[in-house]
Amino acid sequence: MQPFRLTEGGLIDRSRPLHFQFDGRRYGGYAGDSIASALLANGVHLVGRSFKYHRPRGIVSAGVEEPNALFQVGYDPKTEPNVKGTIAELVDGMVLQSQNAWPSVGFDLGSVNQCFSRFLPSGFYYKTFMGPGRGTKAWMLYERMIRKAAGLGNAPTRPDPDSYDKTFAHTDILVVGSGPAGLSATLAAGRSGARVLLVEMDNALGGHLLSAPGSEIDGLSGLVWVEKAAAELAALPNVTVMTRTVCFAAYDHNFFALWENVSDHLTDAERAQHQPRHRLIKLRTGQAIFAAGAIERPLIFRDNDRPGSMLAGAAETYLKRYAVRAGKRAVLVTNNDGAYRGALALNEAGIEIAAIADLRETPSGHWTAEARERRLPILAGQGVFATEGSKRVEGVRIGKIGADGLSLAGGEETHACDLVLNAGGWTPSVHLHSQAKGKLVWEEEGQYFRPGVTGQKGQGSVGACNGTFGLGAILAEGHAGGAVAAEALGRSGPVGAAPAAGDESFLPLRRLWLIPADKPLGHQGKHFVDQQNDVTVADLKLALREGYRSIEHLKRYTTTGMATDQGKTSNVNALTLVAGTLAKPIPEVGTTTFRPPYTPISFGAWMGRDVGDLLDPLRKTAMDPWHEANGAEFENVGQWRRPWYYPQAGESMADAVERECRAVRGAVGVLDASTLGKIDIQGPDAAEFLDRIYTNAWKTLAVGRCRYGLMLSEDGMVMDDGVTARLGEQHYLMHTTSGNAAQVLAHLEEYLQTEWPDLKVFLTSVTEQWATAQIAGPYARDLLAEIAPDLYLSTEALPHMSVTAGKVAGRKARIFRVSFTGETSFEVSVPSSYGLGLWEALMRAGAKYGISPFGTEAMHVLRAEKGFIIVGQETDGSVNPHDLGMDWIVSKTKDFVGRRSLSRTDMAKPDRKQLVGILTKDPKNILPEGAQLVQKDGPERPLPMLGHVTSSYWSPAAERSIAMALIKGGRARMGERLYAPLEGGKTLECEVVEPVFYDKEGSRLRG
Amino acid sequence: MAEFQRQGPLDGLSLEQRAVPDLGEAGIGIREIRYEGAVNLRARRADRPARDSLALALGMALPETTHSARREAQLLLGLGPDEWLLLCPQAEATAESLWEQLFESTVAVTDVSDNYVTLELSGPRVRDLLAKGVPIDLDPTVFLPGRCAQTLMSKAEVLLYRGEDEAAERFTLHCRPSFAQYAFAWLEDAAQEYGAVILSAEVKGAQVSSVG
Repeated sequence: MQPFRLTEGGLIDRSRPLHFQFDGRRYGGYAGDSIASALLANGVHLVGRSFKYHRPRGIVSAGVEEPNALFQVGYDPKTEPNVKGTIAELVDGMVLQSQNAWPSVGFDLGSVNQCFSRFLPSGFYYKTFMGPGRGTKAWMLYERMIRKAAGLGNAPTRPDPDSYDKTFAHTDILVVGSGPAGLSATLAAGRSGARVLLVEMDNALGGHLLSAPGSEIDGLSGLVWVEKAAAELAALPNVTVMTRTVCFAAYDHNFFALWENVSDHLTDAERAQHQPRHRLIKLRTGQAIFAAGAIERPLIFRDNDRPGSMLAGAAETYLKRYAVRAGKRAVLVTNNDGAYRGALALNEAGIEIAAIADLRETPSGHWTAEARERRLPILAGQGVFATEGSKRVEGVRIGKIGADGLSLAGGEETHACDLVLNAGGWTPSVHLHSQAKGKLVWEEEGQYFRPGVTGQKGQGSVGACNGTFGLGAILAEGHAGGAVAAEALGRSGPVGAAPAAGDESFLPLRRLWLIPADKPLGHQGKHFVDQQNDVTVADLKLALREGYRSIEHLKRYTTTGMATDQGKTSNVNALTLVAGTLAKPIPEVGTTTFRPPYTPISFGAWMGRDVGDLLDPLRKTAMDPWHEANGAEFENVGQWRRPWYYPQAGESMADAVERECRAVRGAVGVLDASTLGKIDIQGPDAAEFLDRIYTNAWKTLAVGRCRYGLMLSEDGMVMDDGVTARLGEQHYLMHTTSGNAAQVLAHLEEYLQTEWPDLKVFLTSVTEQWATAQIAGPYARDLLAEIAPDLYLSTEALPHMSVTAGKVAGRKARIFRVSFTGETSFEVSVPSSYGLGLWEALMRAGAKYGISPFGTEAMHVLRAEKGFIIVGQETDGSVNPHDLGMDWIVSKTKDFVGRRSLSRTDMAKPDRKQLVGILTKDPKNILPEGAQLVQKDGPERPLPMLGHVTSSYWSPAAERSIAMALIKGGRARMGERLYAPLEGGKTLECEVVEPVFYDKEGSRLRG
Repeated sequence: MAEFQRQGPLDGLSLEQRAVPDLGEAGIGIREIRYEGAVNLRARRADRPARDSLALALGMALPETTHSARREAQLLLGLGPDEWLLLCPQAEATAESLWEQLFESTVAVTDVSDNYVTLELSGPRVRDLLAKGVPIDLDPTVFLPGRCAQTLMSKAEVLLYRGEDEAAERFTLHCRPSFAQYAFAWLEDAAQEYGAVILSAEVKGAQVSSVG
């Protein structure tokens, strides 16, 4: 039983009845209904409470501009707040809750706020909570209470079970909107042969024609013409039509963001398996045609927010599209001719038109004439200045408007009604044009902004969003827009003739929106400009009295134009009021900035499938399956996952790391070093290139030898380090740190391509071509000899810092004699598909030597014992080679990237933070990394900080804790006592020492 | 002396057990191409003699940017104005032979056979699938048969190649081995909507190392 539903007509499917709940009550609707139309069919106007004053609110519009009809839909975790009932399709079984109301929408405790409304003026947040002496603490306390009282629905508490999708798309011509302008443009563009994408946010094509099906185009009724156009487009293989897809953002260079509602209109049972809920579409197009239509502008009168007060066009939509009467007895209040069409339609459907209060002194126009013929009661020069009733309009007060439009001229009367049709003209939807930085032009006659010069090439607006309102003109403009876009792309196929229709617009109009009442503003009721944010005319005037002038400041101070509707019905009224109060022309006041999104879209769509394991690639080495099977604990280094340590049964991390360190120092250990970046460098100028990139000299490096290099950024700070080997006369292999490989390659390529294009050098990333096992320890040579019997591995044949190529297990391999642990060490690289095989062979053959795999933690300890730095741990982008005590690697005779910065006097200041070793007085105490070091211990605060600990470990070799730190003037402090005040009040006494803790002579790694 | 079994990053997924003989009704087919050889080739844009020597050594003209050339089992992909990738059997021997022939020229020759994992994607929805992660225009009238591109697929760098067979709509996708598990998981997830099947792998190179 839907008491306000017509028995026939409309675009609903009466053969498919649907059921839904609103605030616990069950209602019926039909397929094709929106939430709002179904509620209205059941006579429900009161759908929520307002944001600030908790006033009862009803359905105002039938579209994306809706300020009030916001619902909480569904149950946790699938629940969603702020669903616009005017555009959300009704789904069978839907469960809706009103927002902002407690305990219920009919009886809401929060509505006492109305009594205190004089204490909630514009800017009340700032005035009450953020002033001097009140501080942010008070704000943080009150904010939670205010947010709760202000409502705006509830977020789900558990992860979203739905899946979302993202995709890229490309087209030649994008058409936004499928009203008469958009369809006409798409037909012309499509016929030309260009690739055309038409997007429509509604579930059906037709735009305004869905609400005005009686319009005649090419001798056909509007909807028949739409059907015919849709059929023609469907037959064109170069045209794609998407419904339920909103183009919500225009970015530079014709890049647009679209949001497709894939399955919100389906029940769970109707959804196909694996069908995403929403899809974000990132579109690039050659040309863009905006045919986004227009939004009806409301008039402002006292208590204009009472449920039952609705835009006239919306009532027409509910009637024609949804076969719903929005009331039984209506009063139309209008300042223009166009709204009469709706009144005529409603009257024809059996709704009594109690009065037409027309602000115009002498109503005229196409529809006005027809209304006169039909003897509708027109009250010329009169306006509705107040509504009466409580939770629903019960009547309106109508009076004669003075010639100045600022006062009533008597004749006040009350008219009983349950529906107020509000019509103040139309505002072109210029959002996308403006987001793309197009200019706006103020149109005096129709009193709206329309698109001026576009901000991007290949864009245009057609139809109502361009300020063109006659149907015939709209169709012609759309057709021309399509043809022009096609021609701009060199498509010359025949575009056919423009469709023809009559040309009535909504004009003429009286320039009056704020209807004067019998009492001063703010007395006996409120005049709402922005219903979503509860902003009244009095609020705007107060802000102006307080000195706010910029429309952007007014927006933020009063909150007009904010929230989910972004002021689609309020912005033009607000700036008209501001201009009027300031006695400035409207274009001088201007508009607030249009920013994406045009209408709210889901966070899920932004993320798409970039969640969980797909959030970011987890890069794994060829040996990773062995690490995993052998119980390694992993740590992430950039995107790589690397074995951290390999705990055996019952071992703590400290136990495991100590055992691994001892294996390397006493027997043999093996580390998966595959993640090191590897850049193959070839060409006659390779040595010159390395000379310019690294701080040290490279031309003297012999074939077959390796050298450690330090790379600076242009600011003279350490950027990366690693060993580079000379493989041939013109052939080098550079190693980078694991986390920096891509950045280093980009750095090198940038210099090659932009600074030194004359250098004949080729760079090829071979990081993943090779899998690398680092074999370190006294038995490293014996172990490698078993795997590679053909190789000469003696110190004479392969000394420290050399490289050789040979076969390992029959495969071409490279063996680098380098050491990061301080022990005799070989890095064996094989093509990566053999990496796991190599690793397994090493583990098998190494058993008799007591081999242990070691992870990154043991590697860090071993290198720290030797005082080797790790870029990113001892450095942070503000550390230069001098700071690290690495002057020995900085050439004084050649130029290199970063040299000029490094030669600044500031870079050699003695009080810069310098790398030192730190030993705690109690050898059992291990400093936390990041601990601050100070000169003396004492109660006074703050203590001047000298620097911080960069690395700190238990050293099995030194049998005590060791640390490295960056300390102001550190090298001059050798032997000095410093203190590390720790969290919890404990302070550790330390000594500054040289940062080498083991085998200072380096005899072990050369052995 | 040990012989090494070659291993790929997708081996742990037991794809062969899941493989079906043909696409059937599925929208997407995913097939791994195993152990195809690859040689990276470089020659400077302005260095006409080097480019001519390279073309002569290869026995085929160097394709312009993002195009390809084929000679018997060898496919040459243009990666950029001065870079090509030769996909071929016996890459190690081919690289050595090229290296020797081009000794006098300013070129770079690098065996990168293990630098890639290769997946072949087919099926009626293959372009829809790729569009979810690949930002370039894959329209059949734009990304023509035989074209290739170095691009992104979601967060993985990929080399994408459209097979020469116009009707078949077949793409090969090369990515770095460490990204292979991510890329495969991403593809499977993105393809769910269209229905995806695994097709039996094609092995193009040796599975074990030769015993030395």
